[in-house]
Amino acid sequence: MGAMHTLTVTGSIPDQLRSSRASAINADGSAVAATSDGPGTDAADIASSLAGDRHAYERLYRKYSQRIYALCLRMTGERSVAEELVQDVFVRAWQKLTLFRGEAAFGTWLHRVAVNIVLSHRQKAGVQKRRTVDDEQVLHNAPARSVTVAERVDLEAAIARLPEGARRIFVLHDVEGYTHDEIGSFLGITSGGSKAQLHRARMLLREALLK
Amino acid sequence: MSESGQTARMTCDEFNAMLGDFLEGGLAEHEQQLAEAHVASCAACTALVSELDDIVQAAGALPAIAPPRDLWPAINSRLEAPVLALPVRDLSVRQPRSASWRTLAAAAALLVTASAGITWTLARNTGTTVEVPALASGDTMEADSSTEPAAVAVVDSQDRIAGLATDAPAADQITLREPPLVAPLVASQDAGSNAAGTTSRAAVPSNLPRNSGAAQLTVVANPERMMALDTLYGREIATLRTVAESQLDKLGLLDSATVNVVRRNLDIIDRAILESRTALAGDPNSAFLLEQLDRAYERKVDLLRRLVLM
Repeated sequence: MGAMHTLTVTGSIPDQLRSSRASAINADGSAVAATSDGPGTDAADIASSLAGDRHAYERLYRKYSQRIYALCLRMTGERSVAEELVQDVFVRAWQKLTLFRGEAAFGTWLHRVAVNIVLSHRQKAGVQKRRTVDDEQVLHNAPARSVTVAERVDLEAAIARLPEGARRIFVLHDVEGYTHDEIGSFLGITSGGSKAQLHRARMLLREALLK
Repeated sequence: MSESGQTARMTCDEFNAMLGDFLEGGLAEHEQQLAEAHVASCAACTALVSELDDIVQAAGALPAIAPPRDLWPAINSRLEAPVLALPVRDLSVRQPRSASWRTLAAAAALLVTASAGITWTLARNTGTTVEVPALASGDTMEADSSTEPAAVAVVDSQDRIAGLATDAPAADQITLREPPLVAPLVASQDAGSNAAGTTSRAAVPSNLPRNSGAAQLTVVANPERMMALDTLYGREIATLRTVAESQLDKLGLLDSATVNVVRRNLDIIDRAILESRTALAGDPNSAFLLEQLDRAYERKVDLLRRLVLM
């Protein structure tokens, strides 16, 4: 068993939902201005949005769109789909804003709305387009990575090539910080099933990154 | 692997079999101790654990990603539009051309079912009498939206559910009359106010607190939230139903088995809606129950959406 190149991305193990994460990148990988999501400013914008102030809601969009887009993109692996889903999320959240109880951070609530919409989309897409290839083979048959681990860890690309079931659980757990119980609730599976898929995803990623 | 392929107490294969639980802290204490002892004595498994931990840490540090283009204009344009941006080509009910009366009747009955649950919901909320679509006997099926509702009744929840489940009308004895579309419960207080980026939020009942800019969120009680849900989904279900009616000839071509499956699923979802509402009546502050109601509505909208996209 060969030792894998050490991943160069630094950071802490996921904590709950990482609402304080400030760093963000553009789609091309360049850095964008950090965002702050303090609860105090959210309360004002949410209250104004409830009164119909679209400018206030736009501020919420500007603040959270990067995080929501990242979730949608990583869960679907498709940019165009992710863009559509981001729109759906913010439209739906606007309509459901009265349901926001203020008991959790707005970002957390919005994130849950997004997860439900993404998963709903995947279910519908799954009905319309059944995979004909054993998803276990998807990663193995994927084109060889053009960038070596030593040069730059392309974890994003490896995640995108994961089989769908493993990918969404990996993203929800290891990237977004949801617990297995929460994931089980989202997906209608057991906590054990979520753990098994997560381990499978990690092993597949490890294999891909060792190529 | 260690040279012998195993440590004193656990082989690499055994460790690998429980690696997932080991990383997630899901092992019993005794197993955890065995696994830790194995890792401490096996360089290969130590490396494996380290590599997987690297992946976990790297995943946790992945940054947010800015959308490649500004999505706000598209979002903004949809905030007042129907939730479902379906291409409503012709909302007038077209005369069927090729579907049989039987299949058209089944599709028509399905549409009545589709809006029944939300109709009941709104009736319960408002405590008012609601005009209910009736399936009257007749020789022909009328697809005329101008006809008057055939019956007026106070909807009873159990009757409604029983009716949804069992009263599939004889296919060639249906007169389809236009059920009442679900209208907003109340007019928005802000209707017409679009100045300075402020617009009405039609989905919000007027009795909900409207904060005119105060920084503190007003805690909204669950009954009001439930009403907001009813209004939100009621509007969307009504829109979907209107679209479906415009496609009656297409729906009439559906296989009867498909129609029956959709109908049964609608029944199940309506039962879930009813059960959630009943439970909320007994436990009005339950966030869990409100979420269940929300999910049931989501499922109904999703099913109807797929129906009209068939």
